[in-house]
Amino acid sequence: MNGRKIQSSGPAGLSALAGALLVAGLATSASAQNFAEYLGGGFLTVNDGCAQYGWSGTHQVMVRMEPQGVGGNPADMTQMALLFSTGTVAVRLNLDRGVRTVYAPLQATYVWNGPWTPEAPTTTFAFSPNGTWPLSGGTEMRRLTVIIDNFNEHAGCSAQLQANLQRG
Amino acid sequence: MTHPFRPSVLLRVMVPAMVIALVALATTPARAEFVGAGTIFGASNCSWPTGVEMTRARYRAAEVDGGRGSAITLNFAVGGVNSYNFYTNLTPSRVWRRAAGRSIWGSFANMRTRPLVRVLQRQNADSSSAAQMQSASNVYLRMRIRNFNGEPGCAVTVALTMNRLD
Repeated sequence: MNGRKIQSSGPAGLSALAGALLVAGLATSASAQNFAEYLGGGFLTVNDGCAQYGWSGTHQVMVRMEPQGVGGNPADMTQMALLFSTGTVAVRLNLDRGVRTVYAPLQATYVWNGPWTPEAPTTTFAFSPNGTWPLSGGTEMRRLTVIIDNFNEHAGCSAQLQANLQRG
Repeated sequence: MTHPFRPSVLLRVMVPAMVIALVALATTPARAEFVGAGTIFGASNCSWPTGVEMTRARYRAAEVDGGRGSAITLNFAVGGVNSYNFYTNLTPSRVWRRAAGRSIWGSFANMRTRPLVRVLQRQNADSSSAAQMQSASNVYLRMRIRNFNGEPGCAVTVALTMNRLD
């Protein structure tokens, strides 16, 4: 009897496992179809205007990005998160006027000690024509070069982000 | 009676020591470390990673570090560390360079199967020209690593963007 029970529970367990695998497979393929996310990192340097706010030198930073209009991403919104070792800067931008433009974010959220989302962010982003324009698609951003003025909402503090990313 | 000898003994010991120290200071080789982050992708035959991974990175270049060899340390976003040490410069070439590999996840481990590393590109981070390591203020380093993370047969591509710290 015990043997039968074990035998009968076997296929049920297998089908449950198969179901779980199917769900996992669907979830993976669905996210792959609906979003194009790039992952990578590099470094961020700051100018002398940042010293008064306690920022200096070189900072390691990991970067996640969803460029607008690429692989099913929304046409009018690019998302970018800068993951520093001790905090995060996350922004939404509408990069609708090309590479030689200074963009104010649609939204900026800072997480250093609790989230902070200023109503009118003062920080701006400009992508260098020398780097990879993030909307050019492809599987790789070899050179993401971004000038960030009023970095971290600090007036007069300018930062430069240099990173490389790979499409996930 | 023994007191007069003490200063002379001190001098005899101290002066040569100071001279050696000064010479050592004067001849200390230049040192530079590059720090930044990047991505790991193109995995084949790996239990991990299976997709694209973010990683922090440090790179000590033999060219500017007095012949102590080159070293790459990867500090993965998901936790865990790999460190690769080389006797050689990391000049791009077809050669598979042998490295001494170490990892830390749950515990420290020496990689039993030697990692092999092919340096694909070493350029300035902000252009596509080859990085001159003595003067480069930043570097983009791209390499293929076999036996990655101590797993025999596992190969990945690592691309890193790093800034110079003197």
